[in-house]
Amino acid sequence: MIPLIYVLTVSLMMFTVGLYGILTVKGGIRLLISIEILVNSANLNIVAWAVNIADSSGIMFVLLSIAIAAAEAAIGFAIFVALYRQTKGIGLKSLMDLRW
Amino acid sequence: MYQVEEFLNPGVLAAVLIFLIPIILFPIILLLGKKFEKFRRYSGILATSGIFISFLLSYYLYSLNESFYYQNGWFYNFTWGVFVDPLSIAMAMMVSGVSFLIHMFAIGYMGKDPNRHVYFAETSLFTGGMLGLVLSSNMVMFFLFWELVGLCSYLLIGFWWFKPNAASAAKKAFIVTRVGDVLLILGLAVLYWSLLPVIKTGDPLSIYNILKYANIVPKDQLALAGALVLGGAAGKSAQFPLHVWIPDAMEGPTTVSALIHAATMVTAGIYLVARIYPVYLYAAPWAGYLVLYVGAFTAFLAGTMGLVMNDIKRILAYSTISQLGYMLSALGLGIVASQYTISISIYHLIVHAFLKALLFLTAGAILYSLLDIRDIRKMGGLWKRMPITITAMLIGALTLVGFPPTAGYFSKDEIISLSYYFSEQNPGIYYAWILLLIGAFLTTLYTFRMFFIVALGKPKSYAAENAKDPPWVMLAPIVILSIFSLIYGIFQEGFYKYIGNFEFTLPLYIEILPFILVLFGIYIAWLFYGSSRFSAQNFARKSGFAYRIVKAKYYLDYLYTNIIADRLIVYLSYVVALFDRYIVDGFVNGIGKSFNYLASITRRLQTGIVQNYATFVIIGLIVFLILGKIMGVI
Repeated sequence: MIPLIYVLTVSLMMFTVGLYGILTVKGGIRLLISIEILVNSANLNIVAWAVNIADSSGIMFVLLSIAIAAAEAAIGFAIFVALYRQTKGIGLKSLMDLRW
Repeated sequence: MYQVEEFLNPGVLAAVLIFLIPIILFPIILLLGKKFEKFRRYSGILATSGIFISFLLSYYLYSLNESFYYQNGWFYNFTWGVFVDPLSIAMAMMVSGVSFLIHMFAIGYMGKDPNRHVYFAETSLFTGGMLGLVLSSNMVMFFLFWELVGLCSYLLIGFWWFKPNAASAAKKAFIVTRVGDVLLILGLAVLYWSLLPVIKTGDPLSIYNILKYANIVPKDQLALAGALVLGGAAGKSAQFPLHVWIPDAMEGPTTVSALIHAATMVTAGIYLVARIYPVYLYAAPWAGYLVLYVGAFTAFLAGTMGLVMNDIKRILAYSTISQLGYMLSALGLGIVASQYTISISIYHLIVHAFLKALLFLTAGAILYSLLDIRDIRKMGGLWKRMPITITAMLIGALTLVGFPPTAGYFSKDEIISLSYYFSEQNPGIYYAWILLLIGAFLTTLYTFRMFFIVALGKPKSYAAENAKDPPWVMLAPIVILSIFSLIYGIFQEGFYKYIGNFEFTLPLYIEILPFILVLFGIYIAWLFYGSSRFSAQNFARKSGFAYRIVKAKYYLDYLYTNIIADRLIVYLSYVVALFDRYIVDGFVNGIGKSFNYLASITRRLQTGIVQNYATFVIIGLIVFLILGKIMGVI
């Protein structure tokens, strides 16, 4: 069995990568990928703890979380499709109308 | 006088409904008339019946035969409520009763006007405002209704706004009475300011308490308050320096003139002084002399101006000013002599309401059948053609001059006798007696000048040849009012007892002196205008200078518009406008601009880039976590 701390370290690394991604990337698809990485780091964290304390309900929650992540990705794609129809591009710069 | 605690008391409910019903009818008539063309012909009936209900409720209050007041919290030390005592009941019955008859007349008189629903809605509000003023228990509430009455008079005088004369007359009435209103509100401020230190803390500043505590307020402060309030009364009741709006107000429909002169507007000023009578009674004596001499001088001055007018309604307007002067001086007499003479003044007010409504309605009937010719020189010989109307006018004229046995004899001569009676003890009143006596003589002269020119001789225009009596809906109020003018004298004793009695006796030759003057005045008017023995034109030409001054209304209009308004107020307004534009507006705009500038800097924070927001969220989260760690919360 892999020690808990190893799994948590991987989860932390994934979280950092995802956070860096959503703060810096310029393209819509990359943004969605970064969010997926973030969500999955959290999932990994929960699973690791669930195994550690031998409680299966944590695993069930992660299954739910994966389903929600899928739905959220679908919504994200829908937004970007709508954005593409408006501006012929899905760069995050084209979302800058939301200001003074 | 006792306080009623609960609102659901029949007396309180009746008193509130008296003024609420006509006021509620205002929007109802206006909106229904606007929405349904067909409703307009019923608007007059609706307004008339509403005011009739008010009259019945007033009679109910009278039949209760009790004095009470009701008050309920409003704001600060002020309460709203009703104040019911013989004075206000008598006024409410007079206002609603006379107003009812005038509304009934107006159903016929305004019957063909396309905007009659607006007319009836406004007159209903007018009457409701006056009834509220009469019954209010607080001077602030009084002032609100006072302003409502002023607003309605503006709307109604300018009812035919498409006539330039009517529009400017409405503005003049509004602005002149506004001068009075400013004085009134200053007077109320002084009154409250001097009352607050003596009143028990927490006691409401109601009329009841004003009357109760007036005797312990410093005399000079009361006199100042009284003089300022008198200014307000002079504005509304058209007394000497502020009487100029009334003759111009004749541009409105005649029924409006009748309402203003008889029932609603001008009596408000007299009622105001009578309402807070103890304030004058306990004030320094100069306030009483001011009331007396403003009244007496106005009674005299208006009489001279009435002599030279040719517009039938303007003659009546000047007679109103003159009679209001009598009422005010009756109050002033009592104040100077420290006696309670409200009853004598209010009795004349009520008699005057009947006779002036009668005279204006007959004038309205004449105008109705003469197609709005108002110049008496174009009338003549109407007695044969409109027998009922002109007979009623004769009754009105006899009542106005105080010819026995009409009611005017009992009311007006009483005031003149009273002034003589008091002048025996107080020589300062002596001049008032002379002024009032001459005023009575002048009243006779101009009233019968008008009557002889209108009623006798040959018709001087085509319309006058074909005049005839108006329909019955207009004649009925005239007949009722003439009966009242004739027989109301028998109620004199009862009325004096009801309001508060004051009795005196005089030698007979003083008592009948006004009557002799009346007979003499009628004879002179007959010589000039009834027969052709003297020519009025020749007389006017000979007395050229005096005639010119009187004809120009003593140049008071000229003074007000051309000198005070054009030379003084206009330039003052420029300065005030500059102050407003650059200092008041500058201050307000400056606040706005400074926020605008601040916003133009801070809004740069909103970049519109979602990732920046996310960065801020994460930085904020980290800061909170660190803070939590330091403070040991986590």
